[in-house]
Amino acid sequence: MANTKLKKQNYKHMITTKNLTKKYGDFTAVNNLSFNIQSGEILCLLGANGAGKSTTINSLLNFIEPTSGKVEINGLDVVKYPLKTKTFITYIPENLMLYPTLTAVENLDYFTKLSRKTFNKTELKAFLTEAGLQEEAHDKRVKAFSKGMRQKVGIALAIAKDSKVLLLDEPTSGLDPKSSNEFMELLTKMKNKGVAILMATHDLFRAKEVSTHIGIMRSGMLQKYSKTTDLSLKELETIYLDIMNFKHVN
Amino acid sequence: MFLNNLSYEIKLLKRSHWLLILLISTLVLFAFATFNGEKNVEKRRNDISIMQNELHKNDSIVHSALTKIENGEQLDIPYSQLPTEPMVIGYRHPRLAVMQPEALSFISTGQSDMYTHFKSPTVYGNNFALDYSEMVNPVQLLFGNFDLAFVIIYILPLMIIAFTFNVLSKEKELGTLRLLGAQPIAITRWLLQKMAIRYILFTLITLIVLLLAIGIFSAKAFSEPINVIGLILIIAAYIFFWFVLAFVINIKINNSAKNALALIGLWLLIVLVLPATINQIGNSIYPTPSRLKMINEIRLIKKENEEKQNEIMSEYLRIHPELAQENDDLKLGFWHNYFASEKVMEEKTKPLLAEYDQQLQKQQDLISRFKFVSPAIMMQQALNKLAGTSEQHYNDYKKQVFEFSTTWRNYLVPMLFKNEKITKAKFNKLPKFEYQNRISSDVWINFLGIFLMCPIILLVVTRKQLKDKSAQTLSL
Repeated sequence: MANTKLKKQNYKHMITTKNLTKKYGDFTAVNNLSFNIQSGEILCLLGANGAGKSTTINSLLNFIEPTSGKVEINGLDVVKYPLKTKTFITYIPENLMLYPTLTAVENLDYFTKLSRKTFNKTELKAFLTEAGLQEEAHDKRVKAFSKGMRQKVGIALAIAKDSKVLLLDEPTSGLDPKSSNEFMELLTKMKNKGVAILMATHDLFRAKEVSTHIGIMRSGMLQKYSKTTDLSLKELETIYLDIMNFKHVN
Repeated sequence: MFLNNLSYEIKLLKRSHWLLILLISTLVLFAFATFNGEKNVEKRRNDISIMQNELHKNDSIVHSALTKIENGEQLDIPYSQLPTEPMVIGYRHPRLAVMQPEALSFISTGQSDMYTHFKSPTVYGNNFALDYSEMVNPVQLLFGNFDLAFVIIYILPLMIIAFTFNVLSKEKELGTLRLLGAQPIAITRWLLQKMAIRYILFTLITLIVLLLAIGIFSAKAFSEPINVIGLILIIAAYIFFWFVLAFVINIKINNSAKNALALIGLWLLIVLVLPATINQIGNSIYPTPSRLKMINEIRLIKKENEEKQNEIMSEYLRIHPELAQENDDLKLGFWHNYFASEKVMEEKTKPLLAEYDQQLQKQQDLISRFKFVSPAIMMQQALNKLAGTSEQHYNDYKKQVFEFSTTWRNYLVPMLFKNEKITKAKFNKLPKFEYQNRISSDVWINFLGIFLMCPIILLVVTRKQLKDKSAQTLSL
C-alpha cells in the first residue's frame, strides 16, 4: 500500500512526503512515496540496500531535489524553504562524524551556533549528560570516541536545538547491543517529548521495539505501511521476508 | 555565523598545527628571499662604489696634474695623456653614468642581472649605446633568482593551494559535510566564510612576516612608504586571486585529490605556461633583431665614411660654422675627422638603432597587452616596477646614458675645434650624470587587474552554487 494517508487532526504532521518520486536517469530510486509522521511518532522504514530509504531522508534534508512530488517539514515545503525547514531537523547519519580535534562540548557548541542557538558550557554539558554521554568524555577530543558516543553527541544536538524532527539513517548498525539499547532508550525519550522521528533501518527487531509505525520499502515503493501495534514480530518478520522475496525459515 | 566560524577555524587550524607550519615556512622563505635580494643589491652597490672610487682616484690625479700645469710646472706626460686636452678628458677620463638601486630593489631581481648599472660614455665609439648586457651564469638564468618576487609569484600560490585545496572536500571525506548540510546554513556561504577567514589569516601572517623580514634585512625600504603600501596591496590582491581559484575548485570538484591536481594544473598554466607562451608569441611575431648584424652594418657605414673623409669634413664645417670661424689656422687631426664623420654616422645609424629599439619595444608592448591573461605576469611587472628593475627602467637608463653622452660630447667637442684647453675650473664643471627614475612605480592598474579578476571568476563560474541555499549543487 503505497498511498496510505494518516489523518489525525489533533496532531501536527511534522514530516510529510506527498507522491515523492526521485529518478536518476532511467533508475527510479523512490516511486510515488507518501506518508506523514506526527509529533511523538516514530516511523521505521525497513528495506534492503537500494530500497530508497536514504533517498527519502536525503529528500527531506534537501540534499537532493525530488523529480516530482512534495516533501514537507512542519508544513513547510523543503525545496522552497531549505534553511527554515532545517531549523526543525536534527539528522544522524549511519556514521555520525564530528571534528576529531574538537572536544564533545566544542563540537556541540559549534553545531548549535550554526543553528543560531547559543549556550554556555554548563548548559552544553547538561545536554550531553541528558543524551547519556559520560561526564569525563565531555572535554575529551572526539577522535577517540566510539560510534555510540558520537551518536550521543548527535542526540545532544537534537536536545539543544529543541528539534521537532529527527532523521536517522541506519543509526544502530555497527553498535554493540548495550549502546544500541541506550540509543533506543534515547529515541523513546525523544518521542515522548513530542519529536517526530523517521528512522531508516535494516533492524527489524529494534524497529518493532521502538517505532509507532513501520513502513517496508522495496524498489523505491512503500510496500507495507502499518501501525507497529497492529503487527506481532512474527507477522512483521513474515511480511518483511515475503516482500523482500526471501524464504522464511522457521 | 562568521564569528563562530572564525573562532572555530582558528582553533582547528591551531590544533592541526597549520598556523605554526605556515608561520615557520613564510618566515624561512621571506627571510631568506629578503636576505638574498638584499645581498644582490649590496653587490650592485659595491660594484658601483668600486667604480666611483676609481673615478675619484683618477680625478684627483687629473686635478693635481692640472694644478701643476697651471703653476707652470713641466709634466712628463705624453701628449695623448695630457689632461689639458679636451679629447684626453673626453676619452680617458669619462664620467660615470650610474643607475643606483631603488629602496625596494631587493624585492625583484628583474632585469638587473642582465644589464649593467654603470657606464662611462666616452667621446669615442658607441659601445655605451649598444652593449648593456652583463655576463650572467646561464644556470642562474635558467632557475632564476631566489628573491621575494620568486617567493611571492611562484611559492605563495603553492602554499595557498596546500592551505585550501581540501577545505570542503575534507569535510566530505571526514563525514562532517552531511551534518553541516543538515544545519540551517547555506553551505556555499559557510565555505565562503571559511575561505575568507583563511584568506585573512594567510594574508596577515604573510604580510606581517614580510614586513618583519624587510625591517630586519632592508629597513631602508620604509623610506618609500607609498611603494611599500603598493607592495602590500598587490600581494594581498595576488593571494586573493589564488583563494578565489581554490574556492571555485572546492565547489566545482569537491574531491581532495582532484582538487589538488586541478589547482596544480592551474598553477602551472598561470605561473609558467601562459607567461612563457606570451613571451614566445612576442618573439615569434616580433623576433629580437640581431645585434651582430647591426654592428656589422654600422662598421660598413664607418668604412664608407672613411673613404669620403674630406667631403664629410667640409660638410661638417659648413653645418657648424661656429666651429671653424675663429680658427682659420685650425689643423684638422684625427679627432676633428672623427667627430665630423661621427655626425654622419649618427644620421645613418639612427634608423638602424631605431629599428632595433622599435622591435624590442613592440615585443614588450605585446607582452604588456597580454598581461591581463595571467596574474603572475601582472605581479612580476608590478614587482619589477616597484623594485626599479623592469625592462622599462633599463631602457630608460640606456636612454639617459645616451642623452648624457651627447651632453658630454657637446661640452668637449667645441673646445676641440676652438682649440681650448681644459683648466681646473673647467674640469670641476664637467657635466655629471644623475640617474632619474622616470618610470612610474604606480601599480594600481596591475592591482585592479588582479583584484577585478576575482569577482568575475566567482560570478561566472560559481554563480549557480552561490545562489544555492540548499546543498544540492554539491555532492554530499
